[in-house]
Amino acid sequence: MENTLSTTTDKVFLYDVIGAQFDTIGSKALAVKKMLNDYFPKNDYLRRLGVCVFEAEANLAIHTIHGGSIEVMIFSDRVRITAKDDGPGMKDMKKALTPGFSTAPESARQLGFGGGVGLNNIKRFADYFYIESSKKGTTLIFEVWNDDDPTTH
Amino acid sequence: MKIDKICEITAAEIIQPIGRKDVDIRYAFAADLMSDTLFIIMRDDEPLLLITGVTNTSVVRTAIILDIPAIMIVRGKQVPEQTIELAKENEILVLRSSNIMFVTCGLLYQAGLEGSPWKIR
Repeated sequence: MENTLSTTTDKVFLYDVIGAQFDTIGSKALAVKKMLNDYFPKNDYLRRLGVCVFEAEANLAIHTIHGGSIEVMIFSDRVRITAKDDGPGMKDMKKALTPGFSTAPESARQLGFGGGVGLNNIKRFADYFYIESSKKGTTLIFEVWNDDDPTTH
Repeated sequence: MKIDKICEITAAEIIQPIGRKDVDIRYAFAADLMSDTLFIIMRDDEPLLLITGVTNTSVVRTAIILDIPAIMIVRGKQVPEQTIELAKENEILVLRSSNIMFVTCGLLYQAGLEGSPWKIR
């Protein structure tokens, strides 16, 4: 298996995340996990994916102005997630990837989020991780590979 | 450790009883930061109790994502109806103890519940 970003799949699902709405954080991640159970009925794999999507969703809900989207692409051996928003972007990428660094408002922290570990959690569990950010928005792409498939890794 | 035993040890009540009441809990994890809770993902499928002071719906969603069958709310906090409803829909048991988190953890650890194993992948 080449580690390139293939686009040959017709199994693409799109989820919208509303910005500055903290009390529904995790609802899209749950929907994604339930949907993926039909394709990859394996607890450990779905937990890894679910956690990554949960963190991406929390970032969109907490740090964006207008929210964003989560695109789920399903391949035979992996799932690719693309989380996109239109701003305001990360001022300092290096800091944003430092565990414990957070710009989340107190209202998000009171709900148990914004501890500055989200992106690192995704990096830790994903097999592919890419992020770019500017004032115009942030694009986060990650893949979680199904370890059952001997052609991965 | 059975749910009834956990309640007895921590003087807890079951405030959402729909779920796996016969589950045999082996591990526990305590946190008020849900992202920290998401750190325990690499555990095996052994049943785990999540101990927290967070009462909003995100705690239930975290439990569902991690296949956690039961949540223990500490400090006797009131739990919003939406949280109970979401837990009921997804068959996540919700317990409540008036003890603080430290005491709750201490009592359960002393009684033999193990801390959740986790590792950095």
